[in-house]
Amino acid sequence: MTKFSRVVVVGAGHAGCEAALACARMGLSTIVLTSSRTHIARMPCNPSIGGPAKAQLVREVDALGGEMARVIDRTHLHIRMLNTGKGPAVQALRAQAHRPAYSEAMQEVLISQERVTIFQDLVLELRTRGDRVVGLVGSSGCLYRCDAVVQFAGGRSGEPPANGLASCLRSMGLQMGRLKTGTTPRVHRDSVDFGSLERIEPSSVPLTFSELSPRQLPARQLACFLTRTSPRTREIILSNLDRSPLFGGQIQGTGPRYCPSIEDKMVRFPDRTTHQVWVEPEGFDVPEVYLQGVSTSLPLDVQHEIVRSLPGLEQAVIIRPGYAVEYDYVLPTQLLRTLECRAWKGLFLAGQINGTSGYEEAAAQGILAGINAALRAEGGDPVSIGRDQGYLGVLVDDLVCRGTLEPYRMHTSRAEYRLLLRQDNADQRLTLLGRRVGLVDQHRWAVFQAKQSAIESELARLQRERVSGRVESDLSEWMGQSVQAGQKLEELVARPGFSLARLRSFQGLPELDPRVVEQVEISLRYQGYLRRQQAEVERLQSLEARALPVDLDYARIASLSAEAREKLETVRPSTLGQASRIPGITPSDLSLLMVTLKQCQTV
Amino acid sequence: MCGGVPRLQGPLTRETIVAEATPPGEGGIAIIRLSGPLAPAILSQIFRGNQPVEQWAGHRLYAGWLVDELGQPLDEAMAVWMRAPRSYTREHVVELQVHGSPLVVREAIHLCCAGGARPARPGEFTLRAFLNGRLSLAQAESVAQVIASESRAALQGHVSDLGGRFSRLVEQLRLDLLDWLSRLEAELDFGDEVAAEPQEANEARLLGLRQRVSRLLEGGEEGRIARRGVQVALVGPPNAGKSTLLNALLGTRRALVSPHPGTTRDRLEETLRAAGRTFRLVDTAGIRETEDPIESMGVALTRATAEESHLRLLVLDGSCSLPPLDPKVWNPDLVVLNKCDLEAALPVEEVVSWACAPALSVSAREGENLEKLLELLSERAGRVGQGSELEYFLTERQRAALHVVSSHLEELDATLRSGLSAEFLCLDLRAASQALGEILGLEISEEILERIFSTFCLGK
Repeated sequence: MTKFSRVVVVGAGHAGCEAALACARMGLSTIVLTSSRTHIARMPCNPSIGGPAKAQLVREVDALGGEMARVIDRTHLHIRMLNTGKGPAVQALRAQAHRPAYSEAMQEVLISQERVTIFQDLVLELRTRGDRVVGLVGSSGCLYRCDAVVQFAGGRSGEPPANGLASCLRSMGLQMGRLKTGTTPRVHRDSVDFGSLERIEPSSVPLTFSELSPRQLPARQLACFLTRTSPRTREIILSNLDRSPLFGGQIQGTGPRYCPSIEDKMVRFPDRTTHQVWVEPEGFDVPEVYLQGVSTSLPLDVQHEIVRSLPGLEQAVIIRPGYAVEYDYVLPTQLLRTLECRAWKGLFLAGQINGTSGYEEAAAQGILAGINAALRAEGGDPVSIGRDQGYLGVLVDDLVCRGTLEPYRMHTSRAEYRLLLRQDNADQRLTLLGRRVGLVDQHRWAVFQAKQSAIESELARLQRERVSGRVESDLSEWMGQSVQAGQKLEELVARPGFSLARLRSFQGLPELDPRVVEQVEISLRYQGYLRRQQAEVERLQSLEARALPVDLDYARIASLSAEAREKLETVRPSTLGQASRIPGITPSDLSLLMVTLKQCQTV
Repeated sequence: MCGGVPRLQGPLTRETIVAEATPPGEGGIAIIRLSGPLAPAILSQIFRGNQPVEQWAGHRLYAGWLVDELGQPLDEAMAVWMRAPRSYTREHVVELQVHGSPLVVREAIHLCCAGGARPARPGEFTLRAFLNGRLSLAQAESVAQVIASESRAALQGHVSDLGGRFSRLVEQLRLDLLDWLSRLEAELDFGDEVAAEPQEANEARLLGLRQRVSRLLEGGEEGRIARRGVQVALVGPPNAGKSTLLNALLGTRRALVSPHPGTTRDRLEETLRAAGRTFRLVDTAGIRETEDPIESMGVALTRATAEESHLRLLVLDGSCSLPPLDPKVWNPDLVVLNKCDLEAALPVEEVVSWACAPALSVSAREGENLEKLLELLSERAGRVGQGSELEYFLTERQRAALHVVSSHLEELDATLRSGLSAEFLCLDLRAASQALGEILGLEISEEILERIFSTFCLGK
């Protein structure tokens, strides 16, 4: 049997869903292959979305016209803003999902999306012609013909191992690596003494990820809880280390530094007497409770002991034990910044298969891979996102220039233009791009434009108007800080703690959308810092703009050191800027590249 | 930042570069070459000739003086300006010819950097020439060779310095910057596990770092003094014979001497090797109450010169009574009672108690007691300029990077005072660590994350 579509998306995890939706919304018939319909947009780890750097990614997916933000806005059971004591660039929204509802809502969106067809099937092999992928064969025997394929790998508890996929990619000459990850034991809700735990309440004001979600408080939210490991926990773990496959050598893949197992923590930080453990609900009517902070691969009897050594969990019953798994990934330096494989036209990789961890990281890659798969099928110019445009740009650039040896998770410290890449301005950074490729619909575009023009006109007004002598003293009293006649209003708003909303109410002006107020205040208050980062972006633009030919023969650049040549051949940077970020590439190597570029251009 | 710091400044950006064009070492003449848009502006800052630079004809050699930030002459020099695009690099190119002592060359490069240039990278002039189409494509291979061989040479220089004291100090400084940075980054990315660093702790760290940077720069300064000599200011009332004394010490007639008071309005400076030391003698305008605006500016300049000098010689006319000036203001290290060939009007003991400094009678005109004066000077100079424990010599690249660090720490101070949170502090902290990493040929990139995870126990 043969089925035809423009794009085939393999896997329906968070990357797959965004990729498929992007392709279909850009007008292409799209087939989604999943091992099981119930595996669509599953959350095998903690059902939480957002947090520092990840919230920014979710907002970026939203700005491009993606789905993750809207779905979590509808299905969370707890949402709050993190880092509220800090500046806008590091504040981050984090939501705890009602797990089954999230997956169901995403399934519904996918199923009801025009041009998407879902099949239950696994990939056996990819079909190629020359250096182009033209389709694939499923384990059902069905042949899927298409112009582009987007792949991502899943493979957690209960899912069939994705080894077929790995061997299929390996047979295409792609270099693979191995990573490990772990989960924590889940305990039964009714066995936890919540009354003795520290309680973390959700936000009492409405918060949303999506620009389009209505701002209203959900009907019902749950609290999250916090406990800490006890000296007993430590004893138990240390005396059972020989039974841990992570320490015993059975599992050798590289685990993430930011997500160490509890064994790891105890061994590496012997001075620390206690470690935080978050106790988080996985759903309204879900019996499982997630224990964040005790990921482990120790045998079940030891897990029982560990859990019961935590204050408040003395009677806890484990209903799903924690475990560690290893999985294969493609060394991402074999990809272009469009997420297409350098060696295979039409083959796009996104998500865990590229060595990343996290739903948000996956979704963000998924939408980019989807856009580019659609553009590939249509013969359009591919798009890539700059490091100054989004965390998505940082993520992809890091992966393709530097690769990763551990599951890659986004942190704000990875972004050199952190002050520019805020969750509050993702729309300003990426909605235009989403509109250009046809992913941002009329409604979102109108909302965006209305917001932008409100921001601009308010900024213009504040620049124009000054404090008049008539209101000087009244205004000082009203604002609780001294203002002088003749001062520009924008100077006032730039002061820390000066509320624009309060100023407007003094002036008798109608209330503005808080999101507009926020943008105006941020752009005035942090002007100096924002300009500095912007200037840095512009200073390096010349390097970023200089494209290096994909087929550049580095062996022919005689004076290049062997080390530099090897690195350049592996990564094949697409611009001088990218080349400069490859570890070990020196300024003189760059100079040599410029000499070569000049030759290429003129010859 | 962490993931991928664009740590290189592109030669394609419009930066002005500077380097010595002649092989380093004590040759007869050294050539310093500048290329880039700022080259003419820098030239007019550091070069005094008969004609303003703007009026110069291109490709013509002009004679004049290399002058420092205060306009003080450092060395006789020649300069030529090759206007863009009629130059080797097709940019504005300026070449300065100075005496080939390494000291003068370093000073000249330092002045260019202070004016906005940065030290050129290996082969960068050639690279620019090539990129701007000045060299033919056939020459690409040789351009590449120039770049490669110059960077090998630079690398060797770096390696030989690796065991050096300076590198160790800089590396330690960099590690401490990174330590602070990873502390702040951890509180940003893992706010629920890492508490914010208290303001006072941040302030204390910053203060410590700033002091260390300035000590590093000063240590480099010590190295500079060792080579430039001990600066001795000759101050005193008009017509006490300061210029005559200077000339007598030098055995030339360098300073303008006339019997009219107030002849020396500008500062004159000469280098003298005596008693095994190098002295830089600076003649100054006479100190007196004056209505003449030019002369009162001269007095202000004298004040500044006296303050920045290592030693102050108060020169008095021994045949006159005590002058109307406050010796405490001038804080002399030694009083010279000149004109001892004339009838003495001032008993030495009275002068000593008035000035709170030793005094010596000399005659500049007759050359009397000058040897003794030089001995006293040498004794007073003590260890100044003979190198101290902190002495190391900064290359221009190192000095430039330390200045970058210093200015980032200054910005950081302002940010800290305004009470902004950690991500704003990280901005300058990162830039500072990066600048230091560049001196050592390192990059910070992954290092910060590594530090975060090895220092703090984090994770879900």
